[in-house]
Amino acid sequence: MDKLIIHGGVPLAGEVRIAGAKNAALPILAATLLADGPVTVGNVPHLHDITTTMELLGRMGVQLVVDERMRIEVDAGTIKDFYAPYELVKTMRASILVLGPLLTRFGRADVSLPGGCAIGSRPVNLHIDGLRAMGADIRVEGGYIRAKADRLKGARLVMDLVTVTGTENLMMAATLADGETVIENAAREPEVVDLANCLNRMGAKISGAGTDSIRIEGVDRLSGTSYDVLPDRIETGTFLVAAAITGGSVKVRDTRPHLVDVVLQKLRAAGAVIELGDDWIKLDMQGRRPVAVDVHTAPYPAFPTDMQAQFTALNAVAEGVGTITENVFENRFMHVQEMQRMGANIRLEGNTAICTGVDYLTAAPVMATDLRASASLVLSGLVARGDTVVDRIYHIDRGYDCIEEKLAGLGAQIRRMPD
Amino acid sequence: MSATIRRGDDNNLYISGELGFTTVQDLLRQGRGLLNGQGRLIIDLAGVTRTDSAGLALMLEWLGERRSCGQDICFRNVPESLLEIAQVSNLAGLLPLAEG
Repeated sequence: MDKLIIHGGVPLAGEVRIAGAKNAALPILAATLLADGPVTVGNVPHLHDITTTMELLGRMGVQLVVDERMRIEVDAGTIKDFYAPYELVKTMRASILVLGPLLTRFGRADVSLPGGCAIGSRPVNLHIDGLRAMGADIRVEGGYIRAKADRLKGARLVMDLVTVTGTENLMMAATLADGETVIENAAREPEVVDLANCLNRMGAKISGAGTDSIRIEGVDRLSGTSYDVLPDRIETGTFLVAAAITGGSVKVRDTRPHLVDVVLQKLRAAGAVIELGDDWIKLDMQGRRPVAVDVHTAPYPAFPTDMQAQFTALNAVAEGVGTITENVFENRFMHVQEMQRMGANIRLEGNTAICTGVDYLTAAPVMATDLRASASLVLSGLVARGDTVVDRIYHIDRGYDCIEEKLAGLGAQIRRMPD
Repeated sequence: MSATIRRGDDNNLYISGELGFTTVQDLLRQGRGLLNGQGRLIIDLAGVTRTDSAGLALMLEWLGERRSCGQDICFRNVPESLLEIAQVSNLAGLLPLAEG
């Protein structure tokens, strides 16, 4: 397995371009199943989950071509199979997103259940319950969701829990349903809005995306279109924290500042000087040590759980004491023990990490356990004294497009050691 | 949109035009017979004007065909965009490249 070796102590400086959001690209790629013509998806990040999704669609017989600008043109008109096998779904939970589109457009879908997840419980029963409420006949057997429907019917769906993929799957299913669907307690994340925007470009009638109540008036067909995925707000936040933790000055380009409002608020509280443009953010620590901040994670627009580990790293070397309270996933502090190996002073009490900033971290071999934890270990390595070796970086490769190249471009001393 | 593949004076093959989704079937047909022969075969892509992942798929098809006959093949002057598609698809390591 590849490792990253990071020699800490360099304040980051320069500019970095933000890639498209994986969590927007994945549902949009699934949505291409709904169109009766080619859909071209642009600003797609170069990540393994994207190629897994392409493989999944390709195995169904869907025609995919990647052009010179790395846009993906998808034509579902050639589809032959309506099946998402366990061997693919187990590597990428987001594969469940093909369930709604397959069922509503083609009347059938056989999708493997995803199985467990390292960071917590993320059941798909909300997807299944919602589709049943829309008239689908669904059996769960042999580890598979086997679904059939002549034509789904619009319904009022009240979600027990806020779920991003649940909202997305049901929203996609509703686009071709007969009648109106309302999703209450819907997820409000920007990625849900991006999917709705893409679907509307295809001819869907969706209103209210971005609020907790989404209304979808079913139509008879959706057509092909071109759509560019929105920038990755978590990658944006991660590079901003990288600048802050190293006391550097970095401009992130090709992003949308309003997507990271809460993160910017916390970074200002940590002592960063922040300037904003239409599509860029500049953060300058002016050589100062960050000040510890308190963070509580919650669904959007509150502080994102996907930025929790990065702020834990920031607090680990900040001045003062900061608390990080994780309210979304029940097992998302696995990075803490690894940071403690580097000398971080962090105490866990239930779902809260109490971080007492130390003057410095010391490099150590550490092991990534999930995507965002791995990012926090890289950030820790950027400020640790010595050479930090981060193992199992396939986790980080799932969510960050060329992270070591981008960090090196900002002056970080970081390299990949292939297995 | 069209493409041609022809044998040069140096016995290597040269592709001109678009190497992509709309032309790969025709190129596959044109290439039959041209890919036979002993020794190391070079396919030069300097004349390619536009490409996509279907072009990459054809290159891999030719690679497979030559190797199944125990013959050598490599590609020269591969467009940067095609190399990037290969990189993203984790296929870059499979492409034998000749010096341009």
